[in-house]
Amino acid sequence: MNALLQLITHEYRKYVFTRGFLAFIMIIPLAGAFGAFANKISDRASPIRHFVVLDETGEFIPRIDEALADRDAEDTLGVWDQYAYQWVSPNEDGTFPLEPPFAPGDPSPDRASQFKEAGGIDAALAAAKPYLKDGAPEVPSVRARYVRVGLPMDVPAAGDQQSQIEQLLPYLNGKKMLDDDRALFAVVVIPADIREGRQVSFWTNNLIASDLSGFIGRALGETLRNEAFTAEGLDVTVVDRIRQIQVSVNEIKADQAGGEDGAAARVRTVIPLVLAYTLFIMITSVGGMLLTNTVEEKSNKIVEMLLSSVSATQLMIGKLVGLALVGITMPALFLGIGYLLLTFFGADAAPGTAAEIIGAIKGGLFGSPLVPLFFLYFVLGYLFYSSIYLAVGAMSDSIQDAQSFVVPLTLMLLLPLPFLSLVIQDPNGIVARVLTFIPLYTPYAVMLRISAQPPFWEIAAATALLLFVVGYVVFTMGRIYRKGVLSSSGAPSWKEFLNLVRK
Amino acid sequence: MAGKREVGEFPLKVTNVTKSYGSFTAVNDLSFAVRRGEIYGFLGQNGAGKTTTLRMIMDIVPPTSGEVNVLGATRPRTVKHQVGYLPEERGLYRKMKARDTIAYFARLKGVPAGRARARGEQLLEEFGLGEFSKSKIETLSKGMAQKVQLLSVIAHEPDLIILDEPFSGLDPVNQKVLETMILNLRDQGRTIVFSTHVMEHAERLCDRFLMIRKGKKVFEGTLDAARGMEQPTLILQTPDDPLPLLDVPGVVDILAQDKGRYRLVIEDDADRQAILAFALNNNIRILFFGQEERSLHDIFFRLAGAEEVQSA
Repeated sequence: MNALLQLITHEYRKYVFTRGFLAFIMIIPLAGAFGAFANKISDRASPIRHFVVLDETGEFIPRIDEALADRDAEDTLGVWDQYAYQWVSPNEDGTFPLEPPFAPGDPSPDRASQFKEAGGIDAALAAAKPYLKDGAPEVPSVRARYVRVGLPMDVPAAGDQQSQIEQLLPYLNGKKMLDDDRALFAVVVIPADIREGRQVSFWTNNLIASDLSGFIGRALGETLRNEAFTAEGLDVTVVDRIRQIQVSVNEIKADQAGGEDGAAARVRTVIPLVLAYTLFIMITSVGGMLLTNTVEEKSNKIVEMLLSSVSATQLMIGKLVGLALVGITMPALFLGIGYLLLTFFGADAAPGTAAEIIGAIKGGLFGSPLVPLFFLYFVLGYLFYSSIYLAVGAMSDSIQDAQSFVVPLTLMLLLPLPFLSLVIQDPNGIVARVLTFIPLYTPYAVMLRISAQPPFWEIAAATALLLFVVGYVVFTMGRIYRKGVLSSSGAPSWKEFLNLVRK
Repeated sequence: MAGKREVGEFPLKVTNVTKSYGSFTAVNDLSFAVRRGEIYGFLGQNGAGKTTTLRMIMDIVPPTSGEVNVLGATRPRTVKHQVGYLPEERGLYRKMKARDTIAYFARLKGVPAGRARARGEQLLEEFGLGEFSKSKIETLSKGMAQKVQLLSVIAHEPDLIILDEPFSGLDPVNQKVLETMILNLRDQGRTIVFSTHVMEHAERLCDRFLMIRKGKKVFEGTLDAARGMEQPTLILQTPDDPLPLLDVPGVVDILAQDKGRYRLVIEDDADRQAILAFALNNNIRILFFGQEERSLHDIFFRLAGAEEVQSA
């Protein structure tokens, strides 16, 4: 018993107390933090796109300027709403003590223009002053992302279009700069026949960033459509009002008592998917570790040293348990930290906020049998897969020898991937049920189905079957391991392997 | 840890042990016994069944039939804590530190953590590797790594030590170190069994030895006993013709060796003085005359490998 404990500790420490593993544990939260940081940065640092419009009709520049102003108004409104949700104390019923258009919520263009007319952020802040929470910072400044500029001084406004473009090219290529060292991003050429051809040219050196060209296209399209409405005798303001009629669909998950809101329900459905995916990654990666580890011990000829102190069975159990613990360490750590974070940040869940989603994640993760099931299926799936790896490793003198077994085994695990979307779409359908009863796939199928409340007997029977098969596989592979670990007959063949299984 | 077993007079007894792999018989009805406190050599050609026998003793592979008795136990696994085993196929964890390696193997043998580490330090110090205590195995030279390996076999202070080809891969200096180490272990009262196909080591170290050939015992006993099995021979060196000596009673045969060197095969009770006198009387000039000491090497060739040599 003591020796077994030694083996387990040894295997565990060998993997967990390494710089690589610690780095790996740090990387995931760091990557998350970095992602959030990058998001913030790109919000702040996204470049201002300056562009020139050469308008042969002479009619569209004011339209584009209007569209730019509308856009700025919507951006401003977005910034204010985000600020208000965070820093203005709501009433007890969850509403905000602010009058429209200052109360956060509706992001429509109408409200954006009302907000602008009512005095914008300065006025909104003045109205919200009595209700601001302590320590509220200043409202973040709003920057225009697109700025139309006039022609540079050295380009004659009256010249013909071709020579104007030629003279603008050095600006587009970064060889010349606009005033204040600003770069010219694009030149929009509106031809005289735009109404017939419905096409403009967009000169730029950056074809990948298509945001500005999209914006121009939408703005001009809107202008032409409004002209067409007017030509048909329709009032554009009426058309606009009609266009803003929208029907929202409130998705409610039926299995929750009293129903559950769409976003939260979706989070609940995504969590099992994430867990199933994690399960797959864990089982294959820890299985891989075990394989390398076994082959290493064999090729380094350590195994006989060990066998003079422990039996082959002990050695095998020690490895399986040690590496299972390695596999569990990471998700256990993340779930633990995650639980603390969710509890800490998810304390006051105001409706429609991020906190509500956090609450849903917490409920979805910790309020259901998912987490215990995750660990149960990790252990079973891992034993299934790894004991085969262990036997293969014991029969191989090098990783290359083992390779011919590893590829088909991994493929076998990947095989049902195309069906997984079917399982998600129809969690109690025939594909889902069949996969549930194929032991190699039981863990993933059950994880994906569990939120659809599959019949209990199916889960119990499939798990019992899995348990039985795992027992058989571990037993058989153990026999092969004991036989193989001291032989040195070169690369194992499938024939030899199957013969040993049958014996 | 189970109670320690008394070592007894025969710490290792192998009785009628056979090991077959399919139709191939690796060890065939082998019996021998090792006495307490002796160094016991285990000699045989490659493939003679040495490693298989040692693995059966260590309970790593089970015998097909027969009985292995280690320290009084028929299930050798139960006394593993009192046995140290250096396999022929040996290696270490490359990323592990020298001291930790020794400590780990000691811990597997039931030595408590603190003591195991202390033992690691102490042994490394004792064998001149003190400064490498915290070095990873992969940074050590091959000779040093082999030493660490041996130290991890004896770290738990076993009563019975089994070494499979311990000298292979060591340079002459380290071979000498190992010889001294084995002798010291015996002086501490431990019993040592080691296999080899290098006769010089066996000749210098072993109190008794066992020779096997194709899985069968061909000899067990002391070096003197082995020599006694050989017909005695005399060596005569002379520039003259020695053939007249065949007339002396007890002289069976005269074989020419190198230039002027002859080998006289004699009967056990032949009168060596009479042979010498006869030579002097017949004007056979004598440059050298004496009994030939048969080396283990010769005996080994005759007993354990003769057939192969002749057919080669």
